[in-house]
Amino acid sequence: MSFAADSLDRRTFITFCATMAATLALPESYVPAIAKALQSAKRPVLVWLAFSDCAGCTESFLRASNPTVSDLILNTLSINYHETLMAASGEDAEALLSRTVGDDRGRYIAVVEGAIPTKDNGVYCTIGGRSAIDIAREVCSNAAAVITVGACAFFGGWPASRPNPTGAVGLQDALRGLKVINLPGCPPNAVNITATLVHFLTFGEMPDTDAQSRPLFAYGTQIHDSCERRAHYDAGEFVDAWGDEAHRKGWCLYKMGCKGPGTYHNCASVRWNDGTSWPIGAGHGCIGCSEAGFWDENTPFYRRLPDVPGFGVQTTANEVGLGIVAVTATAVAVHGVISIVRDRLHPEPVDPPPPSAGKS
Amino acid sequence: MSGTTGAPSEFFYVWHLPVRVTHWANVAAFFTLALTGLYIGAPAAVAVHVPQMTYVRMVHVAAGYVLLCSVAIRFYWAFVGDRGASWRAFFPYLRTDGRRKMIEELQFYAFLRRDPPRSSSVINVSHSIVFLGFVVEIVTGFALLSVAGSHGILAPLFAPLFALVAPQNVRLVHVVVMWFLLAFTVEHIYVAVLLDWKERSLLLASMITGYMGHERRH
Repeated sequence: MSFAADSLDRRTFITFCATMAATLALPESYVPAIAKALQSAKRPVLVWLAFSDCAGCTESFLRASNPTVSDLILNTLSINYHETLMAASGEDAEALLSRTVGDDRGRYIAVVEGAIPTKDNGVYCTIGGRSAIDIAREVCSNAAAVITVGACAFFGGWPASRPNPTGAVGLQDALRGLKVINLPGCPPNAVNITATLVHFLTFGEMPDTDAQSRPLFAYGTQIHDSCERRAHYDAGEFVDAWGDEAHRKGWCLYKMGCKGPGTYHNCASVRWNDGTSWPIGAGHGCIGCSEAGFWDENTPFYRRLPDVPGFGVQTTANEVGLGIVAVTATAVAVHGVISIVRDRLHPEPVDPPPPSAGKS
Repeated sequence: MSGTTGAPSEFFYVWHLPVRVTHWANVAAFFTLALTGLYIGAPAAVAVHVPQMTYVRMVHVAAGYVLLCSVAIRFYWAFVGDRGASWRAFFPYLRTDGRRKMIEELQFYAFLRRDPPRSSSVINVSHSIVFLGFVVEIVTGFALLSVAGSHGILAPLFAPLFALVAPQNVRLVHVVVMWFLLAFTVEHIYVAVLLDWKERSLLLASMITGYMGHERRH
């Protein structure tokens, strides 16, 4: 079916196609190709699995507007299964999923949101009596393409944070060998989810990825390198405290623990909520939510370095290091004083034996 | 060479040229790295508008390459160079006489014996730890450089490391080991002065000239 005629005027539709082309870093000449693909697509089937998650990725996906992603994608795709969106519930819903896996084997797109608990036979996340890993294995292994959305489906996210009581892992760790496209972020950007689907519909294949299976169009550039505050970093202009003069001027948040250096995401260019703003633009450092293990590894978020194990959370690595140097300096000073005092009190013999005649 | 006054009557060539050159290259590179690294870790506010962070990072990376080359040359020399600079000297505890010398030296440093041992087994052990520290700093340093952007072979080279340790913890190790090396510098200079004084061996000057007032027993 052609959705564009249903709910959108031509101008809005072409604008959307141009936005998708820009997000995918495609030249303008691809806009007609995208428009044609979206209009002629035979409503590819999509199932959206949600496991150990907060539905925040779904919320992020649905929050886009003007034109709404739901308008465009829900009308282009046949979403056969999505717990949050579907009308059916209970056994009817599960029947829809198993019918899709059976009837559209090898043709549907599987989207996975949320982590997969593996401890105790995956008992910590079950749907209709089946464990998450069981469902994921069946649905994903029969799909034409598998997309993970969010940090949880990428590496385990919040459920996998220490101490990870449920043994939660991301999809690619739960089902090793499965080819997936990862769209991490907490939440992922609706623009990137949409653009990945548009790429698949237009070209029949998933976009190129990095070593962690993240599409390069969205995760190929370091936030630090595309940040609007980068010039302040280069010039040595930094915020020292929340609300200080430098903060009000919009200087670099590096000293406030910003993880923009080392985080690969296109937030700085596509921004959030229809390009309204983004975390650093709003004066808060990046927490690196599109990088693996961000909750455990990037905390404390407001510090440049992690805490030194064994020392209190108020002690920085530089304070610990300065202490190590101070203790060393004190020790050698004491040793030196003892050496001098001993020589004064008990002078060495005038003519010590030559070393070769020493007792050693 | 006996007597509490006067210069040694005989000189021994103990530090071959590669040892001296790499020693001072390490000193220059390490202090450049420590100073620029402290700035990179906790930059101070400035009044002048120059791309100072850019310059400081450039100097830091350049000094990192100097340290890499210097340590690589010293490692090479440890296998092809003179006996005193051999890699075996760094592991005296593997030999019986090495362990005995270490005990004598520790007795000297603990004020349990007066005459300086005129061997440097304990010092060599500490130097083996320092070289391990240099290697850790070089590995973590270039690993962090690979996180910062596309640097050819660096990213795939360090991918296995980051599969085990997150970048932030690599950064923490990079900083803490720097502080240990700074603490070592304090201890190193003190021991050099102490031995120069107690042995009357012109040890301090020997690190430039290569000649010392007695033969080191390795």
